[in-house]
Amino acid sequence: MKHYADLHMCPPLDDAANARSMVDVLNGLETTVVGLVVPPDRLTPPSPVMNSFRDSGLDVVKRLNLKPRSREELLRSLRKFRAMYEIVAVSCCTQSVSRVAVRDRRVDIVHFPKQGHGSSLQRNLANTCRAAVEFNMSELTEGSGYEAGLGRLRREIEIAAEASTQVIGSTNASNPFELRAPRDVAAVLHMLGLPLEAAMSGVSEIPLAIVERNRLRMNEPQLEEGVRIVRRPAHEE
Amino acid sequence: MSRNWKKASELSGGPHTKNRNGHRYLLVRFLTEDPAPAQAIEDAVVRSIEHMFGKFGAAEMKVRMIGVDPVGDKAALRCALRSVEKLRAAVAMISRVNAQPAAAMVIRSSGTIRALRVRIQRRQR
Repeated sequence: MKHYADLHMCPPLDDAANARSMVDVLNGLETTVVGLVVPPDRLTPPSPVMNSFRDSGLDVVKRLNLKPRSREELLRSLRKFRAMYEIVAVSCCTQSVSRVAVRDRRVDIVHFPKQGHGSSLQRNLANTCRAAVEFNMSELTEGSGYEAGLGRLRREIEIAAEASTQVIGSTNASNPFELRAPRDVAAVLHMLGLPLEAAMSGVSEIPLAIVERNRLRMNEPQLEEGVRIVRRPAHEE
Repeated sequence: MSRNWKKASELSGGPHTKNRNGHRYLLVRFLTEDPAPAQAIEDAVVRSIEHMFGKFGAAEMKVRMIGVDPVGDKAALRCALRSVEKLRAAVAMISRVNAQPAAAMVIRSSGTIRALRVRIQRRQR
């Protein structure tokens, strides 16, 4: 069975009824891993929303959304919060932030929002991008400027595909009406110009690999990236 | 003498296809605040397809609503075999049905209507 992930969900953390409705919908989909946006001051104790997601059998990962205004602010936030979260996403609102975010290996996901000057995926950024570029369904289903939004996303996906940058699709859902089936999100990415296999990976293999890598990193913080403990000497066990 | 005829599956869209008529059936769940009438659901699907692919694209996709379940939250849609991804994308873009917030998601895809294994009322034509 294929596992799917939606790494961007931002329900209100105190609204248990909303969370229950979202869980009901998610149970009918094939999503098994969800990324829940949790601000640093709400990390402990776990919010009721997180508990209700976990109780329904979903694998919940904590996600931090950073919206730094400068390079320094980004680096400061990464130093402070990286170890607390399984997923760190950066919203690239300025060129200086984009240049650092795409290259820093502590950043898992970069997102280029609609608004703001210089906030789009350029070729030079895509070529050096270590993080996955995220596209949210909410950008297309909400608000005005549908055609312009489609055109922008299409252009960015073309650039990402040319540079072999990883692309992931998420919903950015805050209520049940914003949820979508992961396979449908992949179909939208495919329609925007991504090859079907890459689009399917963008809702399954790539997000799952990000979560797995970061969990390994959180369990063994002293190890370098990619190093795994296979076994320990008997006297240490 | 060996005949060099193509298999029906090859003619109807590629090696992965089994159905001969070149159609694909999708079971779509519509999440709405109040149950929506079948006509409103069909309108929302058609509007989304035309918004995304235009009238010409819609004609190529050959989408038809086969039926809705009595509760009104699921609908079976048929489309041309090569348009499955387009229909999935159009369904994902639906955010309003009957002027109310809504979500639509494909919960099953099949080559035959029987395989959808749901009891849906055939629409009266």
